[in-house]
Amino acid sequence: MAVSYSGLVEADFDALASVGDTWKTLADTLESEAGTIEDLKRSDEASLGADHWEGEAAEAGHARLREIVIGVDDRAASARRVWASIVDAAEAFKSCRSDLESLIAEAPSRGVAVSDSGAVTPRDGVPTDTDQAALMRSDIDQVLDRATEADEALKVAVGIWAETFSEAERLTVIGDAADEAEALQELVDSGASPEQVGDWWAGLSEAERLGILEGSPELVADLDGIPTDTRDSANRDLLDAELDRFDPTLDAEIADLESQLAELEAAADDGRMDSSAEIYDLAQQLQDLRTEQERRDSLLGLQDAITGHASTGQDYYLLGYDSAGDGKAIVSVGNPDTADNTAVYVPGTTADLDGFGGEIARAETMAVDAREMASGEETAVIAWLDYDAPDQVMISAEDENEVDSGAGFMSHAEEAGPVLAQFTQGLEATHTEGGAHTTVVGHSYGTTVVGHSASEYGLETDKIIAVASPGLDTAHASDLGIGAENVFVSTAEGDAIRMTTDDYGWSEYVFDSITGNEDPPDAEGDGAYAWHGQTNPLHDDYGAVQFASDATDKHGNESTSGTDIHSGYWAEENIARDNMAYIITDQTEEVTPAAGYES
Amino acid sequence: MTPKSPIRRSHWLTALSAALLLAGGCVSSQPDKDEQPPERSFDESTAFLLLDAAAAEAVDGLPDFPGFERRTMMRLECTHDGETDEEYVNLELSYEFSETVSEDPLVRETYLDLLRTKWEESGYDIHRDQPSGTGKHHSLEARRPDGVNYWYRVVDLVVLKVQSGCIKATGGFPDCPVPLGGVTRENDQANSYCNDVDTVYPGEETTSEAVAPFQGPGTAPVPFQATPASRQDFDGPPDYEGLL
Repeated sequence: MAVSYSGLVEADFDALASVGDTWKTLADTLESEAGTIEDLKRSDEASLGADHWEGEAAEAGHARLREIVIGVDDRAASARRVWASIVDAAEAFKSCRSDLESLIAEAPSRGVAVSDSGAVTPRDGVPTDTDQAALMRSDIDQVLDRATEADEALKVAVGIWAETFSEAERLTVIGDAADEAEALQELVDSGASPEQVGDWWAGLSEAERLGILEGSPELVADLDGIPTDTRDSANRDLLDAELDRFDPTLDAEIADLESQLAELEAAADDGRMDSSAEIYDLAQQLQDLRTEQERRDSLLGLQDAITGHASTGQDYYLLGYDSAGDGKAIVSVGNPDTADNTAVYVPGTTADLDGFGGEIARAETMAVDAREMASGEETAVIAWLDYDAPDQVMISAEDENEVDSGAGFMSHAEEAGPVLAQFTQGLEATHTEGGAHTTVVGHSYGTTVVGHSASEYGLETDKIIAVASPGLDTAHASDLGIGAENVFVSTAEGDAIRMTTDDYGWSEYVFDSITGNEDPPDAEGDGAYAWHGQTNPLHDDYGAVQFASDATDKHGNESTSGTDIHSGYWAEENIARDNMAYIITDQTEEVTPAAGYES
Repeated sequence: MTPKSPIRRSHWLTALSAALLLAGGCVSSQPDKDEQPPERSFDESTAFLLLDAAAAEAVDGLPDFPGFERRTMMRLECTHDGETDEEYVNLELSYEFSETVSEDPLVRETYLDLLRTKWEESGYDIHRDQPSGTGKHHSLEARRPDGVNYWYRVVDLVVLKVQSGCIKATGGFPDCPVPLGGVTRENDQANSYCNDVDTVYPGEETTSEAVAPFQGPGTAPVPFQATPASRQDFDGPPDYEGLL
């Protein structure tokens, strides 16, 4: 319904703001209640915990409680969306009324009069002001049109997020945006850049945006250039829908098959029957179902990891996921569209969807540290696994398939390179202020991904951090395109990754003594070799800024285990945490250099 | 980048594999029981209370204590041989001073000196006492005999962190202890790791009314009443008849 002149002049925006506050309170209350429900089963000692309730009914009950917690949390997010929509609408209405008041104030000087109902007439019936009256009428109509559009957007937002629309109304919103959805698909197919996608998206009405989101979430879920909150909503809907598609009797079917298989194998062992073919078939079926179960459990783990708030108080945003193969996911702690600082953390070898909770925990650790280092600023940290990371550090030379999945090869980084570059372009495109201070952080093979992406495709980033790098696929830090002074590297003493470079004194000795190697890669003996690239990032010739890190394991203890040290950079007590936070928050003068540092 | 021949790469990968095995650093999905973290006197079920008590011990006796603004808890993974060890967790409890208080030399300098002295006198292992690059910030860390680590972090905010190190994961959380220093429920970000239903926070000494949105005059649409397919499962819990 069109907003009238008198309606806009007389509107009570305080009342609207009050309704918005109510929605925010509702969101807060729902989040709190989700926590209360979670508490019912959180521990063994809780009222519905294992100490008080066990067995099949308990398992069913706990599963149901989990669903309720996630459902309540979803509704809290929806209520927050309604609140945000009301705030946006109130701002738009105020802007419109302010413009209207300015026009009214201009009326005498333009030789026209505006009545209480908005009618415009030449002042004192002066005929020469007729054109001015039409012009003024047009100006007023434009303001009212803007107010009407804001009103319609609010109506659709409330209808969708608060689910007050009937199914018919919802389908109408989707149908009204069908042409735009098709146009977006064509835009994507044409290879549009994230900036072009962002510009196109910004040109839509809110109703059209919500129509696409509601009707075609898969179109925007992992599309760079689409705002973070929209991607988050789309991905959460898709995740819910995918989880709903799993057979609810999956666990029971597996248990049943295991039982059947055990019986058949026992019978075969006793010589009571020859059932080898049947055993083979059952084992195959069981294997398929277990694969399905693992995929479901990985997705459930992801859903759990992004429910509620981070310990910084920030929200989690699901910017993309894929359950195929080892799985992929992108989760942000905090909203990068509004953050002052953004870090993109790229994990390395063995990273997959099943263990993605650990990657989110590292991102959250960095967000906590950044918050403490720069309390007046917001820092969003993104765990980015939109590539198939190597499954193994070491590989069997006999198995060519395994060789391809090892961290010694560039294929994984080559696949990831353009994807990461486009993702950082998307962050730039969706930032409300035109871009945050951005840092891309790679760990282990993730640094190779970062280096390859930066040198071959260009990263939209201010700084790069490479922790425990086997090489950044470049000969010099300046090849990364952001200036060598903005490239920060660290590898702790004793980290096993040093065996991939020649800065680790005993590695050559071990290699040569074991293998009798006559052709060491660092033939010149200058410690400059790296697996990936022409120069060891720790070598002075590489030109990066080297910062201090401690040789601690994940427990925070000093360690001599090379593989444990390799995982210890986010451990408590590791000075690398401080240094990364300083870099991420652009306080590089506080960074402790590696030179002269004693752990 | 200079291409490397697959043959040579395979050769070196095999060599690396052998070297890592010799160095005792082989990657395994099954952690070696002999290399598990040392036995601790507490596990996850009691860690929250213990860490909170440790924080209380640290701030006890600090003069003119201004109170904390915020409490947080991080639950970090423990890894072994590069693999996440789900039997262990690592908890980090933090108490933050407010931005204003964090600017005060009392907490930035005086407390730093007092805590250093206190932990030295307690015989704790002060293993880090280090300023940042320009000296603007400082980290003081001390480990108690029971393995609990203190970290007084003087950065933009001043934060007291108390860390458990790797302890057995039990999934058991206690009731939330009332936070130190007047932290309110709203600012207690640690309550994801404890049950706060019965915890009485500062300012909650009397029961507050539940929020009842849209209880005013006039008609408003009732939210979350539509039932598109993706939302239908939010109805009441199913019948447990036959299961109980």
